[in-house]
Amino acid sequence: MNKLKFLAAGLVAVSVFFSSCEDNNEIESGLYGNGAFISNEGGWENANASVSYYDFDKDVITNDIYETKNKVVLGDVLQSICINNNKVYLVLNGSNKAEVVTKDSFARIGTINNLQMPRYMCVASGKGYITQWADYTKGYVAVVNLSSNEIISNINVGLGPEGIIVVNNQVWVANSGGLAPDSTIMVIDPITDKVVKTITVGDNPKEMVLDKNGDVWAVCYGNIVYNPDFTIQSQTASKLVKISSSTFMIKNTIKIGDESHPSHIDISKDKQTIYYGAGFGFEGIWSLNINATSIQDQATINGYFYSFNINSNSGEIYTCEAPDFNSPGTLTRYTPDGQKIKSYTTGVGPNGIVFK
Amino acid sequence: MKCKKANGILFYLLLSIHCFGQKQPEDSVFNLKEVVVNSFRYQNIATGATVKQIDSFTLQSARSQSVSDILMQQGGIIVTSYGQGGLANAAIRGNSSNHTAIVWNDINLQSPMNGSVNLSVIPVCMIDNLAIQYGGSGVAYGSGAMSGIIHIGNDNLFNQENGLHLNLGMGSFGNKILSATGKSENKILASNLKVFAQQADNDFSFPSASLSGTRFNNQTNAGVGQFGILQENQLKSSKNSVVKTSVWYQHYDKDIQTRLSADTNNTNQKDNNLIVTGNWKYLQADYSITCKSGFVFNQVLYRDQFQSITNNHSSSGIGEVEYKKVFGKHFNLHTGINNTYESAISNSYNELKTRNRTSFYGALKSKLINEKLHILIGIRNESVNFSTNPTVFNLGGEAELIKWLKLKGNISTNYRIPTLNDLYWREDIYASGNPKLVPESGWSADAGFVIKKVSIVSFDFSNNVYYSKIKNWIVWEPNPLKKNKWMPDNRELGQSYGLEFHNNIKLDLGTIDILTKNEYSYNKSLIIQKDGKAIEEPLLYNPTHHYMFSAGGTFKSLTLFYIQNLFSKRLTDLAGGYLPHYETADLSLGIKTKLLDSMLGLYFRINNIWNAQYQVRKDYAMPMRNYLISLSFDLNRLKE
Repeated sequence: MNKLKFLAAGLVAVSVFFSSCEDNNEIESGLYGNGAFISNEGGWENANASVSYYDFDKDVITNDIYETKNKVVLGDVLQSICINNNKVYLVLNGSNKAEVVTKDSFARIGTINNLQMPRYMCVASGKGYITQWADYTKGYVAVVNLSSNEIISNINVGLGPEGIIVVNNQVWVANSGGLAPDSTIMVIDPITDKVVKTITVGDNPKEMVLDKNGDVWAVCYGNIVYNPDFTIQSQTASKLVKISSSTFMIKNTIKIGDESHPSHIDISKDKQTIYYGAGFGFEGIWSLNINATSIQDQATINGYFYSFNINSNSGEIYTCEAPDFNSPGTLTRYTPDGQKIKSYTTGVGPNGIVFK
Repeated sequence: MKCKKANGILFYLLLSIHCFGQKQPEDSVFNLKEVVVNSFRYQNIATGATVKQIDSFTLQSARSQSVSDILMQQGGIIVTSYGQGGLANAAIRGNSSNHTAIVWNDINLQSPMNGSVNLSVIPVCMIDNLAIQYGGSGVAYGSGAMSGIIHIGNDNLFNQENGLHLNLGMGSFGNKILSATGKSENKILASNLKVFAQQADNDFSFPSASLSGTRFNNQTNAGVGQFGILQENQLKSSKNSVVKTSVWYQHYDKDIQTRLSADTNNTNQKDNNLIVTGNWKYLQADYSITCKSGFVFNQVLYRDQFQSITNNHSSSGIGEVEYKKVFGKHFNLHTGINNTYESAISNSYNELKTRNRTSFYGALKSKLINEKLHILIGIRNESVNFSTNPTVFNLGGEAELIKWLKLKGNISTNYRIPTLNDLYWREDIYASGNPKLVPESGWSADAGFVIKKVSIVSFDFSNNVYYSKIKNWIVWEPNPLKKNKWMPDNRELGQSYGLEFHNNIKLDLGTIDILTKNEYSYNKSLIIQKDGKAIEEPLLYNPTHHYMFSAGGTFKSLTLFYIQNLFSKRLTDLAGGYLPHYETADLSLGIKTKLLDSMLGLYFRINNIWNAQYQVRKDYAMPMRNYLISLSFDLNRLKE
């Protein structure tokens, strides 16, 4: 009798095992509810860009959800992800396109083609705005009809347009310079699709966030010039610049370091704490209050990170590590004050997290 | 593609060949025919190594194809192709393509900039010999020959019949090929001219997933135009000496294939390659001296999607003196000194970069016990910019136990110096070269046996096992000690091991020959240590299993062959990405017939006969079933 029970239990276990395997391979519509998408850029020319999904409720990460669902290669270098209503835009820098998928099932529903080295995207007045480095000597923001996924126009901006956000229904673009110097942020009116304001900030602004008081914070990387023998000829300091979104005036400039150059910025859940750091060669994730006038002495999190973002629901800090661009990366959750919670394995080269 | 101009030049050259005159009678006074003026170094010093010579039928029927097409079908070698007609690199026994040397008439063609050679630009019609030397036994070839060598060569002109050969090919995807060879000799001078031109649109159709399900898309932007000319002269400059000169120029204009995940592509690459060599050989009964000089120039013009052009060019000047001596019946000495001066300039360098390489090599071969036991000891030392690298050795042996059974094996130490890109890539925000790199070094060994029996049913069976280890493996990765910049470093220890199985059975029934061939290779290549820590990472794009089967035969002047290749799945990254296993099959049919004083050959080939959908490199479509027909015309070559 015991043997029969054992056998029955075994059969049940086997059937559960097989049914769970089947479930893992089948991504159902509506699966992506409460969680975050991680963009894994993959290796340049390796066509192994992918998207991971971190489920807050189940505390599990699922990798490669685009290819699993759509059975096609996503493309080369997934630079960023943009969510708009029930659609997700996957901006592929190396493939010069953006794939459009549904937010709940990740089924592919369209493609925005003919982009030129696209970087980041936002949506304003029902249109998509995508920064493009183009050929490095000119920078553009593509204006996209989100119904037809066609490019309506390309707006001339500065060099290496990078971060792009919507503030007061205007589109703010950080001209990072790409591989050259630039020190401007441009503001586009989405009604006319014209640049209506150019603000000079620190050298090579990369990303921006909007704080509780309606001020825009930009992280300026600084400019580095090299000698022929690889030594640095000159470099300018990296800075945080606070700009009034109503008057476009600079309200404060905080020097980060003469020889340190962070790439990313994000803001806390209550929009009162700025976080900055990460990127090639910059150590740590740092924070400061929006009323501060200088940086803190200690990093909130030590270590080298490829990117980070703040979970706008929980306030947790999510960091991305990319040991190389052939191997899996790591997503790690930290408390807002920098205590490590847990790490997860992602796809190749994780470079950003977008929270649903 | 601008092939009209190329065809005009070709026509002019054909006319000039025809005026060369007819074959002259043999002159026994010189008696140099047995002197292997063009003999390749490996033929003398590859004792104990596994060397696979590609047979003449394969070369002849593939005259309208590239060397990479042939190598794709050989065991133990992986050719990574970036689409139809695109860049194709070869790697032997699981290591990287930088560890496989490509030599033409004993001149190393590896680019000093990146250590690679694009095999898809070398037309089969321009060469007479193709061989694969497996393992690290090619110590005499120096840096880069760590896991094997692909030997490409052209024969001694005095051993070839005079005549004119013309080959016209036409195939799927707008593929058109024209090649011609003219050979003439008199008492003291032999000359040979080979020309080649190709144009292909490569707009092939392939299945692709789309929003409305699977549909067929047309591949775009994979067109290629190519033109090449090789001119060789061989002069019996005295009773005991021969001079040989070669000039080989090739132009390659290739649109870079649009990737499966992209909508369009307008990038393009143009290559200009020039190789000029001059050899003088002096022969006596028991020794010979050869003085060689060479100049290799490579230019790559890459136009990106924004029409911005990157101009890379490198050149190498080579001088070499080789001395061979026979000591009685039992010992042969083969030694030489080589100086190679390399220079390169690129948009990615700050300035012209140069380096001088001087090397000495020597090999002593002994033939013992009635020549049933061959043992070879080789040594090589190279200094780069007067800084000495480790001396490397090779010990190989072959023993004929019984008439049909031979044992063989070899063990060697090897090295590879960093490329100029590794050393001098201009530093920017994200990346930098590393002038402090040291050469990779390692050792390899293999052992095996050969069973060979010739009768009505001929049987040929061989098996090898091998192992290799490479330390200070140079890899480009973000370096945490250098603010995570991408740069090369000597960070890894790699190992590779496996086995190779080869079997031929030939049934000779007089007018009918039937031949079957089986090749299987198993390979495991791993990075086992990184920054001093033990790891176990498989090398990417390396199938563990490769099996090749071919069967066919000849009936009078008719030849028919079927070839099938199976590759196991290949990892594309270490996060679980892979390309699934695939198998392709080709069918080739050849027929020859006499026509007056000439031989007419007709070759028909179906590639990918079972219409397999596969990728060799992720995201690059490969063509499905396609056809190639070629017509060859040999004037005064009835002996074939």
